[in-house]
Amino acid sequence: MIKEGKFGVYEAVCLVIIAICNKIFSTTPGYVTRTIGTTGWYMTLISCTTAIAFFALIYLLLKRFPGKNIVEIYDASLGRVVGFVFSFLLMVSFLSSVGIYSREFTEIMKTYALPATPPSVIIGALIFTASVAVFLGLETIARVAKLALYPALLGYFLILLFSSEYFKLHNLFPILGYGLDKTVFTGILRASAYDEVTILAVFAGSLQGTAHIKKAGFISLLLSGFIISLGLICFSLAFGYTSIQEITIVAYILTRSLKYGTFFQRLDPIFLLLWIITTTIYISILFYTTVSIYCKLFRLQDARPVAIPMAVLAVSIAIIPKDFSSVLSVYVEGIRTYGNITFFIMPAMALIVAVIRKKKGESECAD
Amino acid sequence: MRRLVSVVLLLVFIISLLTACWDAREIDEWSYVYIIGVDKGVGNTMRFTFQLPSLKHEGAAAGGQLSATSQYTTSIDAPTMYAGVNIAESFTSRRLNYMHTKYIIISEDLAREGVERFINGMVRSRQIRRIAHIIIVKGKASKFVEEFKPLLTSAISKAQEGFMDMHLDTGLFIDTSYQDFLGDLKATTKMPAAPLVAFNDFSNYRTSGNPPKEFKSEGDYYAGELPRSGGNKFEFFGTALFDGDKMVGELNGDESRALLMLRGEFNTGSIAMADPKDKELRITIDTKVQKKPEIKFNFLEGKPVVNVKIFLEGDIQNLQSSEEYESVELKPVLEEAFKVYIKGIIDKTIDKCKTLNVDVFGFGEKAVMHFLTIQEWEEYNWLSRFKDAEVNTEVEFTIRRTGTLLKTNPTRNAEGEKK
Amino acid sequence: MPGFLKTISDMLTYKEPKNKERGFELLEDEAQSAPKQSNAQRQDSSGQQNSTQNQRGKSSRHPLTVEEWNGGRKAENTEDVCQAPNNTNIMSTKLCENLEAIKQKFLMPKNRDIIVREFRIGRKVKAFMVYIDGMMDKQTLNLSILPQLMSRDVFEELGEECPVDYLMENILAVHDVRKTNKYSDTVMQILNGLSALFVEGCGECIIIETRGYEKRNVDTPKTETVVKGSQEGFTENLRTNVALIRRIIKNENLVTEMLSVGNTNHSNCAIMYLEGITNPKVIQEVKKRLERIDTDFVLGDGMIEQFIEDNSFMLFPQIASTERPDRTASFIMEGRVVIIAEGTPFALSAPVTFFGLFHTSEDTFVRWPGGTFLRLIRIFGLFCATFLPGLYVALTLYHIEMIPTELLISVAKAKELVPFPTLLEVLIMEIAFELIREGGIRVPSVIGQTLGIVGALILGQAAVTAGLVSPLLVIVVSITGLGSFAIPNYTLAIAIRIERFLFIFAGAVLGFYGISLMAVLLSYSACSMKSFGVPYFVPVAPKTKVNPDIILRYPIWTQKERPDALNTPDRKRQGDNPKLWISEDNPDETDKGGNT
Repeated sequence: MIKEGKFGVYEAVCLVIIAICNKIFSTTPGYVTRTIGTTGWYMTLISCTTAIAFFALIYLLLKRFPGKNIVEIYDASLGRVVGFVFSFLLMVSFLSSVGIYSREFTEIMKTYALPATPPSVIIGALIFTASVAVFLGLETIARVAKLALYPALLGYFLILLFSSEYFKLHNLFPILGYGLDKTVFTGILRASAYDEVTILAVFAGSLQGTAHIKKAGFISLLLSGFIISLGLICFSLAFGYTSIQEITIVAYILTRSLKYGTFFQRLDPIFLLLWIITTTIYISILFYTTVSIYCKLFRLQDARPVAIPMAVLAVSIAIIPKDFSSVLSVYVEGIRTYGNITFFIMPAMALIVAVIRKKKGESECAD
Repeated sequence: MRRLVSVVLLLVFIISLLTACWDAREIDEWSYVYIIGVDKGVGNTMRFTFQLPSLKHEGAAAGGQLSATSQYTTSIDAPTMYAGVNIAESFTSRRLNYMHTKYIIISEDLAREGVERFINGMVRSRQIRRIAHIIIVKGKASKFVEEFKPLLTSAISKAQEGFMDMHLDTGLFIDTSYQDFLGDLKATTKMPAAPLVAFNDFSNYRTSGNPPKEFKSEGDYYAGELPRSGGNKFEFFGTALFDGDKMVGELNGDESRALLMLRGEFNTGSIAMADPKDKELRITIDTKVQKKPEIKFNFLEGKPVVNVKIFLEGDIQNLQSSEEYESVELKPVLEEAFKVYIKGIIDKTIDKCKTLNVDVFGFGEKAVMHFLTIQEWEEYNWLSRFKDAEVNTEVEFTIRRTGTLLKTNPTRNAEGEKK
Repeated sequence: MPGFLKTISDMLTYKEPKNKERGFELLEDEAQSAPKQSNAQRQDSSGQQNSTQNQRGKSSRHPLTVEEWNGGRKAENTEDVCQAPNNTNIMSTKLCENLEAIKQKFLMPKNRDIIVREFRIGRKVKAFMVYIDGMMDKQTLNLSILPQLMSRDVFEELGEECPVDYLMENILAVHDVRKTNKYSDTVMQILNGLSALFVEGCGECIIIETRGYEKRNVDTPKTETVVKGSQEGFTENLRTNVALIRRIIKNENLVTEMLSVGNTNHSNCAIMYLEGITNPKVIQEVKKRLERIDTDFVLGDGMIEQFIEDNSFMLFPQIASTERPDRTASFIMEGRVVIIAEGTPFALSAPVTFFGLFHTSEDTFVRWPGGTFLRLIRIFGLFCATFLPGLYVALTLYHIEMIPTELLISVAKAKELVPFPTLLEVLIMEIAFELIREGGIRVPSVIGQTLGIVGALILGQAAVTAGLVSPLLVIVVSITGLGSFAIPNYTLAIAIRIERFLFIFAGAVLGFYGISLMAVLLSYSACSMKSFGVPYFVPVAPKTKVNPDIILRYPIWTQKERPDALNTPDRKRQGDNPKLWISEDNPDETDKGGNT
């Protein structure tokens, strides 16, 4: 088993927040407005609640098998073969998240900042940084996540604060959007936006006890829900629902529109710096999770030889889609719609099976 | 052997990165467009005009001394803007770059035909900024771009911002950014409006004749009609009204002020009016906004009713008579007269817009709060019903200060006190 | 006339050169192989016997002449066997054997530094003293040792037994004497400046403390100057340095352990820590690493640092080095271990964290708003020094939208005349600046300061006028340079200067994207570092107890505990109410209740 080191609640919270909230900078806020209209901000709260409910199930599963991570739990509760399949599916979901998000990010970078650079260079540099992180270990990623979270959050809140000159309250109305049923349904379906909280289950061994996992999971879900909802409120307030559906990345356009006098305008590249840093950490942690699950699946001792082939795989997945529209409408939508299954429903099924089969892990000795 | 392999790998890596820094363009490989002008084209669908700075060093270039920037303009007939840019690059030595474009000038006849064709396309580029200003010009946009040589400064972009910032000081025209224009174009609650600019041939500046007896306010002109001489040849005055993407009407200076007040964007302005006691004399009030207007929207038997209350305050700037308007007895008279005057202008503006059926004021923003879902709201289609709406306006006005004089004493001449 | 012709013919004819050799050349011969074997044999503690063999082996092996052989035989025949004892480190009781051994070890009479003073103690017993001329204090020898030993009434009550103990207790009026019976020990002590007294009939010698060599006075520290603080700095002498620290920490638990590093130059090295406050595992780790240094030659703490640090390939330093005793004392008080080596006026301190490298003693002596402000300026200097040139390159090449329009036009105009691409002109200016900085160290200090400033300014101005660089770049480079001067730790400043180039290249290749990726990569490598078991970025990442002293410096009475990451046995630094005078002045607020 690979040695993973330990980190505490604070760092776990920072890691999960960066992993979940990075999506606010992607195309999702604009894209999802097509279905739900003005109600983005409380739709995401519905998603958050759903995610919390599912995480409670995951937590119960982890509590039943203290000290074990999710691969071992799948093996223990579902048997070797089915457990293997489940873990494999989980790994594939993480890997495809890495690949598709890299591609989305690359396309966005090519649209806004680096139009002439070949996408393979952008994707390659990103995945290269992620593989360096694998070589250096999990603790490194957690620490860098903690370091980077403060300036990123500060920049985020500053942007939202400064863009308040464009806020118009009426943009939130009609309050029910395209209908309450659509909102709730989309909300529950899109709980997959919060599915990165499952990395806590993968690294359960590094978190020093299930009480820590509980704290880390719930605090991070609540905070991410708040951050994403705040962002979506500000986006909806600044643009009407008709405009926001057109825009590729709402957050970036909002930053571009900031203007205070002759000097404080066009300050978006600073925002770009922060965003790239959080994206890199996001890709690193997801990539590390993939490598970690792979090593745990096949009981490998050292993660380092796996990193480079996995990086090649991730880059290949990123290059599969032909154009940006298919990335958004087919792949990202696919991940958001079906992500629920691998990240939330599968652990729930494992919990039910474990309860039925009365499987329990040994309790940890008191340290 | 290992060292050799790693050195070779490193070299390959570095060389592949540096073969072309694909996106790196030196500063002097770009030419920065200050203004884009869009006209109806003759040779092709549209005519685009660009103003570019010339970065030549005039005279001996003793390093550190930079000569004044001169501009040059070029006009191209092309089907779309980007095709036009390609044509333009065949006679410039640099690529064109719009990151610093501050003005997008649209000619009036093109605006009356509809701006939709190009307004969406321009914003797709990553270089065009949504904080650029959209301006409608009466006449040819190419002429405006050529004539845009500000007299007071050679820093063009400062002048550009400076021109648009004047609306905060006077309220005689509005300022629309690309973001606002585009938003209003697509919105279901409001119609877009844009500032007007026109050329003044100084023909209104007559050298002989008598001034009119009735009160003519300072904003009662349309763009291009200001009685002045000297200064820049163009002037920003008034507003263009859009129904969707087509320009349908024009507001003069006073009506633009009313528009700003109703939108809640009025900042300050010196408003002149007739003296209530002596119709030949004039009073100027430095008007400011007290708080945002209260707009209440109701449905009365299915008919939309809007009640608007505007809150203004002001300082007395100029009294031509020696009546003691600062006193407690006469101040309400002045305030009442001012309220009537402003209400008259506002009602005139609202009627004008109702006739054209354009809701540029944003009453729809209050209307939307009465609907629950987007489908209901879009079925209701407020924008088509503005002409049936009943709008009741009310103005609240207080005079706060009187400047550095508390009392005006009458002048005395040989016959005694002048009345 | 004939002399004139001879001179001309001398000038024109060819003469063979008189000196047939081609000058001094260092050729390889069999003698070169000798040092290899000495490496293996140095594992022994002294190897004095092997060194004698080596000495003999190094000289050219010519066969003995007959006179030498006869001379040796004569010595054997006429006198008693007076040769140095072989294969042993223990001294013999015969004085002449000891003398021979000492003479062999120190390569006398070739080696003129060693003085052997033979005399009789109390006019009866033969003895000799060995010392190194120039390293011992002549006063002590001439006033406290030789008169006492040479006086007539030394041996009034003594018999035949070895008088060493008697001498140590009664006769030698010196403050520090000890005895030993090992040659290796004696040789080391003599080399350190002490004197050795050998007495006939004793298998032990007395080591007398007579150190007195020229050394530099305690002076103001050259590299870490403060305005409000002590102006004493370390010197090259180990004893003085340790004494400076002892003057600040007057605690019986302050331990100084001495080690010797360097297999050939045997440099002394002291480890200082506070017993009961420092974590014993850290002390063990430090000692272990120091003892296992297996190298020839250690000049001072710079080389020691490079041997014992955790990650040699990381840019950031993992051991702090300081020239000030007050800072060293504060390190000891926090629970760190301090290593002082002979030869350089610096002390090392381990473990260290990244934020600790930004503290100077100025912050402690100034009130907390000033301390916080100074630290913030330093952090700002750090950011400028690292990122500014890279950001400039990325901005002008990729993201010109961020530059205000008028500035852009004037920069573009200035750049019209410059023939170089941006990356190249940035590199030119940066390298020129580095050259000025490096050259300025060696310029004589009288004109050094002015030359540095004037040179930089004039160079910048001339470069702009010649059209080599744009004026904005000169400003950027100067702010970068100033920022790097603001970093207190010299090693860190050098590391930052290197990283700056990494950021310039990253910015030139991929713009802000490259800079962000490079920043993340550097953070990864920095966060994975540990300095003697303490993660480098504590207390930010990983999170430990809030330390009111990282970047913002809170008032001094809030710093109640030692840094959490060091896991010291004794955590509390201050009592619960460090400002007891407040509650003492207001007796109603104390628990006792109003009793004055």
